Amino acid sequence: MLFNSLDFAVFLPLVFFLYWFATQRNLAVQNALVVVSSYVFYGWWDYRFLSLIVFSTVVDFVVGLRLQKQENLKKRRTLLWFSVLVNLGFLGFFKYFNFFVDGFTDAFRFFGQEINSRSLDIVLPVGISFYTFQTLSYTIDVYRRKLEPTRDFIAFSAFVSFFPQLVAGPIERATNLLPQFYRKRRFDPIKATDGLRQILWGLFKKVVVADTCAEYVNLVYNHSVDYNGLTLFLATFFFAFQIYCDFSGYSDIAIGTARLFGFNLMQNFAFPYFSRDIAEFWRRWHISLSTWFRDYLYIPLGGSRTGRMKAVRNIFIIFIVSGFWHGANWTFIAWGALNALFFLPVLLRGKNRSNLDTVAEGRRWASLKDVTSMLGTFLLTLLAWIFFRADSMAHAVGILGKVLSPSLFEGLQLYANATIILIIVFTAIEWTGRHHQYAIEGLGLEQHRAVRWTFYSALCLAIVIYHGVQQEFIYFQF
Amino acid sequence: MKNFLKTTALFLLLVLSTLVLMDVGSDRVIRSKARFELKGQKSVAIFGYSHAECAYNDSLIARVVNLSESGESFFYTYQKMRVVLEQNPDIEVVMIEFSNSALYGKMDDWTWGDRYLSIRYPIYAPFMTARDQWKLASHNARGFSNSFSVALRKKIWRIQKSRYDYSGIIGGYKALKWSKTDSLIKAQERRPEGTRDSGRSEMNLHYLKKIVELGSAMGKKMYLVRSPLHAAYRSAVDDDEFQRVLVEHFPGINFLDFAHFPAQNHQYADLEHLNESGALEFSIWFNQLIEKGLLNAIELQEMIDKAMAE
Repeated sequence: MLFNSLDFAVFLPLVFFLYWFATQRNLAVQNALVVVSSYVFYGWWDYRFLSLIVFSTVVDFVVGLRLQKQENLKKRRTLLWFSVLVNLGFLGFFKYFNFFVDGFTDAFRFFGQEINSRSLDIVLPVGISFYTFQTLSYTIDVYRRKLEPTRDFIAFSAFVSFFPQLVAGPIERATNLLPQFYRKRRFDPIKATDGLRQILWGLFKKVVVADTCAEYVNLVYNHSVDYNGLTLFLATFFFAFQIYCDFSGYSDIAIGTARLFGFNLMQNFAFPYFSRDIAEFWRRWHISLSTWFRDYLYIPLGGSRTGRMKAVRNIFIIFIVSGFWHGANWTFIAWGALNALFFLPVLLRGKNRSNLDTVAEGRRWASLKDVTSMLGTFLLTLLAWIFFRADSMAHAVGILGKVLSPSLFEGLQLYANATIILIIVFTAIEWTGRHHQYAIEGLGLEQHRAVRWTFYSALCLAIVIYHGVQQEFIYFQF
Repeated sequence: MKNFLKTTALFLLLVLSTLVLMDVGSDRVIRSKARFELKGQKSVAIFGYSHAECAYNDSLIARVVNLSESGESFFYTYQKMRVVLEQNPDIEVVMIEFSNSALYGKMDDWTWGDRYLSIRYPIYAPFMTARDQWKLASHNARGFSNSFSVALRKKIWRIQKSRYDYSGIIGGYKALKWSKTDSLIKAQERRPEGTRDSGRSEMNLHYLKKIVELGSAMGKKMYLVRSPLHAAYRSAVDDDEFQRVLVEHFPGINFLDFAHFPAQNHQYADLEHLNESGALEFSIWFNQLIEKGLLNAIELQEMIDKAMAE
C-alpha cells in the first residue's frame, strides 16, 4: 500500500480508530492489531511475501531466546551467524542472484569461456532490505548483550512489521522501538497533531516536489543522448531534489504516522543539502542506514582508530556496501565508491567531525564561507547522483561526459521554470525550519492558528492538485 | 482525543469545502466559456470510437465532420455530443458508430479503466453531471481520485491561460498508414478462439440509449452506423447477438450497415479498421452516397447494399 494512495487514506483512519477506541485497554490486543494491520498493509502489495517476514520474525525471535540461554561463546557465535545467514540469504537471493549470475557469465566470457547461465525472473519483495537490517540489529544487539531478548512474540512481530516504517524505513533499532511495544501508549493530542503535520509535509515533499521533478528527470534521463550538458545538469539537479523529497517525504510520513499511534521513530533526514562537507552530509542523509553501517560494520572493522590505511579501507568498505545495499547494479557501487572518494580528504585531514552543529546556528543567514561549503558539497553529491540515477555505467559515463563538456554552456533545451520556482520556495521553507526535526515543525509552535491553517490548507490543496500521476516511492525498489 | 478529532475534522472540512468550491467554480467558468464550434458548414456529425475515426476522412465528405476518437466509450461520447450539439445548431444529422465491439465488456474499461479515465475525465469533467461523475467514482474510486486531481489541475491551467477552445481535442479523422491484415488473418486461423473479445457492457449500451434519446430530443436525425469490417472479423463475431440488441434496444432508429463494404486486405490496417487507402475509397464512396440522397431515402440499407454491389 502506498502512503500517497486512496487505499492508505482509508486504511489509516480505520486502524487509528480501532487502535485507540477498540483495543486500547489491552496492550497485547493493541500490539496484535499493529501486527495484523501491518500484514494487511504489506499484503496489499503481495501477500505471498508475508511468509518471508513471518519466517524472519520467527527465526530472530527464537535465536534471541537461545542467545540469552547460551553462555558458550562458540555456540553464541553459531546462533548469530545462523540468523545473519538466513536474513542475508533471503536478501541475497531476491536482490542479488541475477546480478551475480550475470557477473559470472560476463567474467567467463571475458576470458573466452562461454557458459550457459540463466537469470531467474525474481520479484524483489518490497522492503526486504529494510526489515532484514532491522531484525539483524535485534539479533546482533542481543548477541552483544546490549539488549534483553524479548519473550513477547506479538511485540516482536509488531517491531519487525510495524507498518509505518516496514517498507522503506527508518531502519529502527530494537533498542529504540521494541521497548515502546512493552509500554502502554496513551493518546497525546500534541504528539498526534505533530504527527499529522509531519505527514502533511511528507506528502507535500513526495507528491508535489518529488513527483514534479520526476517528470523532467525521467524525460531527460530516458533520452539523455538528445540533450546537452546544461539540460542534463538541470535534470541531475532536479533528481537531487526528487530523491531527497521522495525518500525524506516517505520518512516524514512514516514518522508522523507512528506518532499518531504514540510511537517515536528516529529522524532519518536532517536537511542534508545544507551540509558543509561530505561527512556532515552523511550524518544527515538516511541517518538510520548510515548509523546502522557505522555501528554494525564500520566500528567492528576498526573504524578510524586502527591506522590511516585501515581507516581508508573501512570507509571504502562501508560506502561500497552501502551502494550495493541500494541495488544490484554497478551504478550503485560506483555511487558508493565516489562518496568514499569524496569522504577521504575530510577523513585524512581529521575534519570529519568538524561540522557537528547546524549551519548558521542561531542566525538567519549563512556566512559566505558556509554558503560556499554548502554549494561545494551539493555539487559533489550531484556528481554522485548521476551514477545513482543512470540505468548503467555506460549511461552514467555518457551523461557525465556531456555535463563536463562545453555543452554545459549551451542553451537549455527544456525549460522548467515552475519547477525551479517550486524548488526555491521549498528550499526557503527547509532553510527556515532547519533547526527542527522537519521543516514545518516550528510552524505549529510559533505561529497563530489562522496562519497555520492557511499554510496547511495550501499544502493540502497543492497535494490534491498535483496528485494524479501517482509515482511509487523510489526507495521501494531497494 | 475528542478535541483532536474535532479540530482535525474541522480542518478537513475546511480543505474539502475549498476543494469543492474550486472544482465547482472552475467548472462553471469553463462551462460558460468553453468553445466547441466546428469550422466550416457542417450538418452531419459522426461520433464513435476508432472504427469510425479511421473510416471517415471528413475532408472528402461534404458537410460531414468526424468527431470520433479511439477508445472512446459511449459514456464520453454522450458528454461530448451534448455540448457539441448545443453549440452547433446547424448539425441536423448525427451518426453514431455502433459495431459488434461496442457491446463487449472492454467498453467498461474504456469508461472507468485507469488509462482512459485519466485521459477523458479531465477533458469532459466540467460538462458532466454529478450523477455521471459518481458512476465513475463508484466503479474505480482510486482511478477517479487520481483523475480528479489531474482534471482540477487542467481546469486551473485552462482558466489561467484562457484556453477554452476544445475543438482540437474532441476527435477527428485519423489516417492509419500501415496494414497488418494478412498476418492477423493467419494468426486468427491458427488460434480462432484467441483473438475475440467477450463479456458485455451494460453501461455502454445504457449510454448509447441516452445518446439516441438526447439527439432525438434535440430534434436531430439519429443514425446508428457500422463502418467497414473485414470478413475475417465478421465471421468470428456473434452477429446474431448484435442484431438482436439492435432490434430490441433501438427499434425506431435507422441503422446504416457498411460492414460489408468491399475493401481489399491492404486497405485495412487490421481486421476492424480501414487504413488511409481504405478510408480514402470508402469516404469518396460515402460522399457519393450522401449526394445521391442516402439520408432522405426510405429503404436505406437497400440503397447501401446496391451501392456496395456496384
